[in-house]
Amino acid sequence: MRSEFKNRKTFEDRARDSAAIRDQHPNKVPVIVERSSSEKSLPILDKTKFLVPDHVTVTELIRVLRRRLNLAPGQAFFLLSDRGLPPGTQTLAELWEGEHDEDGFLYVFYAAQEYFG
Amino acid sequence: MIPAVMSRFFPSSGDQSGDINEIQGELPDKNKKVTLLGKEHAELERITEDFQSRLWFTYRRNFASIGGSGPTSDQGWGCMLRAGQMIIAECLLRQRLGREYVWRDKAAIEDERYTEILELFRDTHSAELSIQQIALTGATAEKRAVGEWFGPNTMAQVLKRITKSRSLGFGVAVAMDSVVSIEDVSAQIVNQGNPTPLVLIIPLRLGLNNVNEIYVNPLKVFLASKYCVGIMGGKPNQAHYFVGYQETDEETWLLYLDPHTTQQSPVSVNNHMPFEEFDKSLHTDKLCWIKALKLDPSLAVGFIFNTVEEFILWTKDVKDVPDLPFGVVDQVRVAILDKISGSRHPISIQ
Repeated sequence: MRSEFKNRKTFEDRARDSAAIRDQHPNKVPVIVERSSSEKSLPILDKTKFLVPDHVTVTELIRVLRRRLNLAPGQAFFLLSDRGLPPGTQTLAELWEGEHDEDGFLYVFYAAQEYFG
Repeated sequence: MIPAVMSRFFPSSGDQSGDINEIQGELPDKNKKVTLLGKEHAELERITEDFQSRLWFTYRRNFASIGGSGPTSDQGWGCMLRAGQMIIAECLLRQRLGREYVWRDKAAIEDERYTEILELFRDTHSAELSIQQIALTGATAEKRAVGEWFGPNTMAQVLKRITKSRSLGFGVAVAMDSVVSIEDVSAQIVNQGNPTPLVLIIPLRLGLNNVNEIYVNPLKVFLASKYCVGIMGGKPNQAHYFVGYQETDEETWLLYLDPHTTQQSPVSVNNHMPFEEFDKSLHTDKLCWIKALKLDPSLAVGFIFNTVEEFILWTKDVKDVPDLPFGVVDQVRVAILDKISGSRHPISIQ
């Protein structure tokens, strides 16, 4: 999945940025959250860079994002990494450890579901 | 000859590499067993008999205008609604006739338990699970206008709403955010001291644009479960109802019923279809297969539980499945939310 954030900034900028964050906030992980490029029904987040306390789980992050996007409880919302749907019980620290980019950021994308006719 | 050349350059059901991605009317491998909604079959005859016993819903034409001024056919837009009818029909068959039920032409309609199920799906406003009811519920509750396409989650939400009174003998719960909460689901089965069976539908997205390979095995595990009532999904733009799989030496193939055939409505004004004919139109022996990796990643899998005990047993089974695409938790913790989204500890810094 192509990241807009990656397109906007050079690798050096991103690496410096994530290193500074890790340095200042050792208990938080830098996460880039973006709307999947093929997603049409969900709104776009006003921010893409998130500093998430390392003990926060994927489910909890989803709840926060749902609230930010003002979604109805029954509306479909999925957060995916390159590997797939991270388990809801996984902490962001664990997810960062397993899947972070070489630039030090963890990239995740959100999407609803497709429609069928 | 031209047709042969054409078919080589434009394979009808393959991709650019020329690989075949779909098979119809036969088995991918006639020497391998097939798993169909929790049962294993080795003989083609048993496979076909079991497949044909499922209720098959398709596009229909010439039914009563939806809502009085809406469409009189669902051709071109109703396939996910038909897939939804198929999954809920499977729940009804399971509850009222059992998983061992075998449909027999002519004999079937002498059984009232069976004909009562069919009546729920006639294309009229008065039938509880009709295309009219589903489309109108989608319009009011899910903001999908009549004639608009549904996603698997849209369909799950509509089924939850339609079955809310539990008059069908069971309720429907939808697990959002790919998490199943043991506390929530158990409470819904207990139903405030009036226990009723529950259909648990789990909407999923198994990848952004394609199904990630790691999820093929969980899909097989779902379809092999005796609690499974099938999967509403499809290939891009086209909904199917998945009921089984076959593992060949090279591939995993999924078995499905396809709603993309337009039949006459059983209740059209000029042509009132005899009941026997209606029943026949609800069964197909045409086995349809698609490679698991060619699925659209948006889908929803359903399970039915009669008791809390059955549900707990199921959670213990799935918890150990590698790469399970949803979490099973005792309860969903929410206490921490205010802390991470509050102003003192903002999670966003840009």
